[in-house]
Amino acid sequence: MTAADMLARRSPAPWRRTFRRALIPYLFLAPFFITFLAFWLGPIIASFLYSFTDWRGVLDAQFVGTANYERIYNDPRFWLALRNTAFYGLVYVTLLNVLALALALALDSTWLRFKNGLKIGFFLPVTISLVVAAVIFEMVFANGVGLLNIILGALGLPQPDWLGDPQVAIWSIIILRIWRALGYYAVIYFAGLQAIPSDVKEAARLDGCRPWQVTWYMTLPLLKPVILFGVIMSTIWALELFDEPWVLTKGGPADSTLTIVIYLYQAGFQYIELGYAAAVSYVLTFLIVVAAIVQKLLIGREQQ
Amino acid sequence: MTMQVMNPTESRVGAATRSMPLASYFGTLLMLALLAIVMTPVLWAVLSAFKTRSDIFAGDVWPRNWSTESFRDLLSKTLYVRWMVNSLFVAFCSTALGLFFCSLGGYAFAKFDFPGKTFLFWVVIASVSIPPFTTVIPLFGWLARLGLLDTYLVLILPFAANAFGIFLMRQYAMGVPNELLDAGRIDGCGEFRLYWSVVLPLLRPALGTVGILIFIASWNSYIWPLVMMRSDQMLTLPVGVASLKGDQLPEYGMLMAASVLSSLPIILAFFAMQRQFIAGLTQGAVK
Amino acid sequence: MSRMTRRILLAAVSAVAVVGAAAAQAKTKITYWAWTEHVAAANAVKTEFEKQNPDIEVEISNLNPFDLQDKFLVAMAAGVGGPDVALILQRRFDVYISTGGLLETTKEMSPLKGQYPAAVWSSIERDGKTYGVPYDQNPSALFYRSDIFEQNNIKVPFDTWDDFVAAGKVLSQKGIFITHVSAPSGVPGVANLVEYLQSRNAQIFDDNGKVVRNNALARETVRFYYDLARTHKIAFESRNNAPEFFQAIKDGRIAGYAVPSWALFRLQKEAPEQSGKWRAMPWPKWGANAPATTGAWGGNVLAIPKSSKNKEAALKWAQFIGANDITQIRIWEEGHLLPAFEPALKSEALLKGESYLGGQSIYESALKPRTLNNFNYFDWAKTEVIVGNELDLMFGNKKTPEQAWDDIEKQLISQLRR
Repeated sequence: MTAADMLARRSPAPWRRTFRRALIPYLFLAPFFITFLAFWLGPIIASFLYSFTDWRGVLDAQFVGTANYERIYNDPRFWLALRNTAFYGLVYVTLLNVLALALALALDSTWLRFKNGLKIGFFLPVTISLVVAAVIFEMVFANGVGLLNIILGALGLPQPDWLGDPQVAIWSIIILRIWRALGYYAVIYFAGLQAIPSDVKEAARLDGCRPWQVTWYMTLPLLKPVILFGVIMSTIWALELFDEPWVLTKGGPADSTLTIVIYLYQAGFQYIELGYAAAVSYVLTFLIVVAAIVQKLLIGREQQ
Repeated sequence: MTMQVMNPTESRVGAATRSMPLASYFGTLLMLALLAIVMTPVLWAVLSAFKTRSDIFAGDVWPRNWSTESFRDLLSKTLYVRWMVNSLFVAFCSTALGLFFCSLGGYAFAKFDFPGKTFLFWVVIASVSIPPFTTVIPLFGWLARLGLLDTYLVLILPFAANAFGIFLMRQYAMGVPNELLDAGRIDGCGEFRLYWSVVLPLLRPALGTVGILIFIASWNSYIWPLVMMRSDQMLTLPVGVASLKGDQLPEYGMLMAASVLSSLPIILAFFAMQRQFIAGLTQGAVK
Repeated sequence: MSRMTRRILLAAVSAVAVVGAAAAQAKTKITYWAWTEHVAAANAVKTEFEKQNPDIEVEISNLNPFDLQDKFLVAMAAGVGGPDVALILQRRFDVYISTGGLLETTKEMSPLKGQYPAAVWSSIERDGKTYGVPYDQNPSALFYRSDIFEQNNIKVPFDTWDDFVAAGKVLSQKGIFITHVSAPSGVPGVANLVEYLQSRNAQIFDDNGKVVRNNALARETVRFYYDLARTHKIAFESRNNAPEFFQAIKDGRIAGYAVPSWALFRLQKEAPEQSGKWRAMPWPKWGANAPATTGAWGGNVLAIPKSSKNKEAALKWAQFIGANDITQIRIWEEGHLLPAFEPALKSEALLKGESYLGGQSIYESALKPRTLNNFNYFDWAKTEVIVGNELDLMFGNKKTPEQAWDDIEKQLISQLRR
């Protein structure tokens, strides 16, 4: 603050300086916040208000109190969606982050060859648009004649109906989702690893630590903030899962891949129960915030 | 990298690596095998793109008759090039504008104290957890009344206000030394000049990271451009390509060809920005 | 600071100006949303329309059909920003009527009521008022591989479903399926079941939208549908439009396809090498003395939102493509979809032989001999979810067909309050 004080002393009208100085952060935030307000905050508030109405489109909306929220609570299908989403989220977040971290550690290691080629290869699926990925995986998962079952058959393994069996379908969604996200998260973790000064690792190695010890006791603890970032981000995206099950299974068979956002989408975009859909989205928001707080407490605890 | 070369321990590391070439080969082989698994669907799509339309369900992996039919159809029967240009233009504009908004705002969050700062920051963070579709219907009504449907502006602005982006920028900007800013102020540098010529260059690595975040978000976005665009010429790539998957007549060949062509610019962008991306994530997230 | 800000402001202002300029045009411009084959049909008649109406310009957008429904819905919900005319899935139309956002067309359309089949008309009419313009009908037929049938001495055409099942059993001994059943079903497979329900007039809702109670006919039909796949094992099971289905067609493991005439387009595309081997016959009857009726899979209606700024022009265009024998026949030529407007059915184009079917005319040999039954669609988005789920549970061996139907009925009554 000394510099600012000095500036103020030099200035002919100190109060004007101070005022301008106070205004600057708001000016700097203005471009972001005006856009943010218009495209995110405004509609978010509007739909919060709608969640207390029976809004169905052009007809006038009536205030219905908490009726929408009660209906969510009483709908077994919502609870099924929640259970599916939670199961999916747990498996997906764990598998994805472990795989991405392992991949990043390998890419960061001294022993690996062809690093650049590998990086590009693993990142490639991120760039493939959803519709195309869906068509590709419809054929990968096709019953009997799909790529996956051809390979499993050749290895003498059982060949499930990947999209048709309610027990298996959610795993197909997890496979596709991980396939699409792995490269993205691996790059994030790889970047985190590159940030750890190499002399820290070297020092440990010179002290006689084995490579796995260096990784376990040095690298991973240092990487914790990045891991927290990755886990929270992937959890949010997991709880908002929609694209993959929608294009592959439409939530079926027998609602086995129904997620909360599919439930939300059906209410809003197909049944035109917009007030109800808004309420569902606020319940989901609440769940996401809770999940993020829990994760921050679990992973980030020691860091504070 | 240069630091590492000068590192006196480097030679010992090299020796360690040389002493275990077997592990190196095995590890590399394992990774290549994993890559093969990840790449198989992609390669299969590429091969399918070179099949004739009726051979796609013929059941063999290798094309029976190599054909560029799908590519020719895609380029002649659809507005593919236009969609590609739209998507690239929109993604680049979102990225450029988003980097400006987020770095300016992130810097303000990191280096200024002002009333309402904590509140505003938490509003941004909380907004990340709002599920998709929630904002679409109210916004559509407003934008339609303003006559903004079917314009690039609508595709650019929402992605420029990226909550993750401003969060990461703030994290990174906190590392900018205060002394540097004070020195600039003593030299009589205006606040925007200070941001533009002192802070922004220091934020360069973070720009790479946030840039990729915004670019990918815009490039892969689907429902938003689907709802907001009205004419064929204004569609983005994912929406345009989806129109090839009709009710009864999916154009599988063209879809595959589209996947091959649409991945190219992203891969090039990734190559170009890779170093910045990695450097940015590094420091931004660890701080 | 100022230079950057000015640049951004300039960009924003010029963008807005461009939009403004585009909006101010002399001609009345209307937009029409449709997909693939319908876009082709519309493009084919657009010039003629613009010649007849020099003050109107039609802009046609090609969208994914399911995306289009969602996009249209958003516009309906917001009350602005819709197209002037959109092609809407017939089974979803009821939901749009209930939003109150559709233009009423009673005055213009009611004189034409007699010129559409009742099955099509009923979907645009509610409480004596009509909304939108009918577009196509999709009566089902039975496509079959004549070469495989001949090799196995199967006599065609079939009179009843019993004949069909008997033939299916002959083929199944050779490892060939005579038809396809959407199992698992989910929402996409419900239309498959509806074909069978509709063809024997087994309604889910009565004319007033009330759920039919103790629906023995529907229960029986679900049993029949299940038996095709599981008891007689004569139907290939897969999700609707799954890759394995087309592969099985190409491999000659499926010798029949019980769907509307759009099948021809699909078969030509996926299996051009089987040209000349396929034929079509009328939908089998539900008994020797049962009426000669059929069901449908698909079907579309032209919707005009109330919010359209050019209602008159929009209606003109909708009537031009939906209530005009010359333009209606185009949807047959472009996608083998049967026109809804009956005067169009007199066209020579319908009698044209198809080389893929060995010179047969689908209309003459398979569609004309059957009357399309009416089918009542109410709250169909929700109904589809309920029915699709129960069918999945049935094919997953969790329920018998009878239990599945009873549960469908129970859920429809409790959730739709109809």
